[in-house]
Amino acid sequence: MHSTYAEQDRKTVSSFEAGSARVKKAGFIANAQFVSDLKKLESARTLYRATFGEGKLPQAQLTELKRTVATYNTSPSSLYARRQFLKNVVEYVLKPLQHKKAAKKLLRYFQAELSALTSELKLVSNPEFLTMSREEFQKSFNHFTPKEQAETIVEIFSLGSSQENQHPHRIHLIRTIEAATSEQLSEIFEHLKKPAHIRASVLRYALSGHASQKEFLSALFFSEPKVLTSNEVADAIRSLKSKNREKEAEAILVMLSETAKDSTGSKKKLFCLEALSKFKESHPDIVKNSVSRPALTPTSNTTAGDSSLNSENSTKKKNTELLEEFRKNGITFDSFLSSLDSKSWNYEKTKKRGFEQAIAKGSFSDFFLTPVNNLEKKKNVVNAVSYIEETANPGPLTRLFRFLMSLIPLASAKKSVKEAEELTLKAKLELFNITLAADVAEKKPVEAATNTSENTDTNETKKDSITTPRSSASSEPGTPGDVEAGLQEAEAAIREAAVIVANGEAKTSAARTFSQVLRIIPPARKKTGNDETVENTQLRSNAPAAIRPLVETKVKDYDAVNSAVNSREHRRSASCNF
Amino acid sequence: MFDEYTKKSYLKKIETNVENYLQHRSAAVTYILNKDKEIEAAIKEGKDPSALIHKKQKMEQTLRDFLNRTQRNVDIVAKAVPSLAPRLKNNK
Repeated sequence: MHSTYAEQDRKTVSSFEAGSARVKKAGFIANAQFVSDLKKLESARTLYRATFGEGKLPQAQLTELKRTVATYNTSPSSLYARRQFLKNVVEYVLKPLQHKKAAKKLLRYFQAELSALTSELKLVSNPEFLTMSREEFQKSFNHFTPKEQAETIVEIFSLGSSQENQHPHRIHLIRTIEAATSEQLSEIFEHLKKPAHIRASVLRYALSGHASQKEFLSALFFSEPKVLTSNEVADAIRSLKSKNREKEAEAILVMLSETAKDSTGSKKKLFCLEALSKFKESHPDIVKNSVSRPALTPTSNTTAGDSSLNSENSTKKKNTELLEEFRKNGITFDSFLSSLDSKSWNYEKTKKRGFEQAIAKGSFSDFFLTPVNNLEKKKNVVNAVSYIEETANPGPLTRLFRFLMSLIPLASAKKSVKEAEELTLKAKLELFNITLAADVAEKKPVEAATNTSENTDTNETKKDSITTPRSSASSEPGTPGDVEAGLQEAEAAIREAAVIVANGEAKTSAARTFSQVLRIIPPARKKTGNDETVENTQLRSNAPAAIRPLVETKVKDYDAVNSAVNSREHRRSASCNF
Repeated sequence: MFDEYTKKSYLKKIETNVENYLQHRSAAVTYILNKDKEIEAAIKEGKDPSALIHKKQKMEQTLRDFLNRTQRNVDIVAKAVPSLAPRLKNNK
């Protein structure tokens, strides 16, 4: 048996070698010759040996090669079949073997053929396609790879939109884009990097075709990898507006606002807020009217969505306005803080009820007017900050809290010096803790990095809600969408784990800082100003770089509080309302 | 700085999250391996495998991006909980 096979092999090898020699003599391999040579060979194994020497070539690839050779030979009129054949030969047979001399030569030949055929297939350059119907165009277009689709779009759109110049397929292409799926468009955008105006046109057509489909928009905007920027989305909405596509623009704005509000993932939220913000820069009224949200402050007409979009420049103005409002309503800083202490405010239990209801009603007064004062308020403030930072729209409320917390030394100056300094230091350390946790875990913390509450239960409640898998990943993954969603969940899970670690480290670090800082206080109380003790100097030099500025400011903080207490003027300010 | 109970509770949560992470990561790998088989089968049957290959490549890219994005957090967790490190660092 063996000898028979060997004999056959020798025959076919010599036959192929003869063919190959002829080819070499001709200077370049001729396709017809190659095909006929292939046909002469009966055994796939022999074919491989004869062509590329010893080694293994998967049977499947050889079968495919044979099949496609036949296709290529018998239906040369089918451009797509020919291209497919060439692609298969290049990808599955020749590329893996390109280190072989013979294969390299064939590869070069087939690649040249392939590129010639691809350009032949381009819609723009092929006159026979000029008269095709929309359905035919769509069918042909869908045959292309995303890269080819992007190239075709550029070629057609770059001719312009005027009646005289526009490409005959422009309208077909627009309808095709309007009917494309989000997956298809994402792939096209991946390859359609420039020019920007063509990207913008494609996006506009895509959005106008699917403005009411929330899922489509969501899939396109938040696709992974990210293919669109928030700026582009804002421009597209603006462009829809200018083209009298009001309804579509409104629908997209509502989708963005709702996602910004409901979304738990910070990336989505950030994307939506950025897009809305950029759009608002040119159309402030439109966003305001299209987004209906509960008001944040008792008398303000601004909405949560709107407020979050305000630039940092207006923060000071907002704070002053808030201050005025509080003053008018007789709300004091103490009453505000102590209200957080009241029974109506319990971070764990009323997380989704009391506080949110107050926000929805636009009234904080219930929270402000309960007259209870004690040091526990610090904890409540921190809890409230944690809560606010994890809600959908943290911007203005966080600013409000930070603003209020910046007043702590002033507000607490009427208390005993000890109370005041502890309150000041604790508040600052908590803020420092938050920042540190955020820095360590992620550059932009998502949810848990802001939770620095000392209350373990709170942490646990929160972590549970995040760590419980939304869906269990089975060993048999489903659609690519399922897998991608799973990966997103996995990303959130590992980030969460890292945040727990970082939070722990930050707490440890902050606690260490706190104990260091507290050690500074007694000598600082005796000797203020530049007259520092040896202990202070040592602490300063031993403090880690990250916390050194904080340690260094402690004496000054103490002085500030102390002088505030002693100063009549400050005392008056401290005791008055906002 | 934490008592034993808190430490254990944190560790448990980290482990749960890591399990979740590993499950989804291996699901993506399985998906890619399955696609390999499908591609082979398609070639055998004489079908055009380019769509399958494209899907596979896309998922590979997604997975690569995912691994890059999560690398830092994986390192943080692996450093903090050495018992989880071998599984976390084995990307295959």
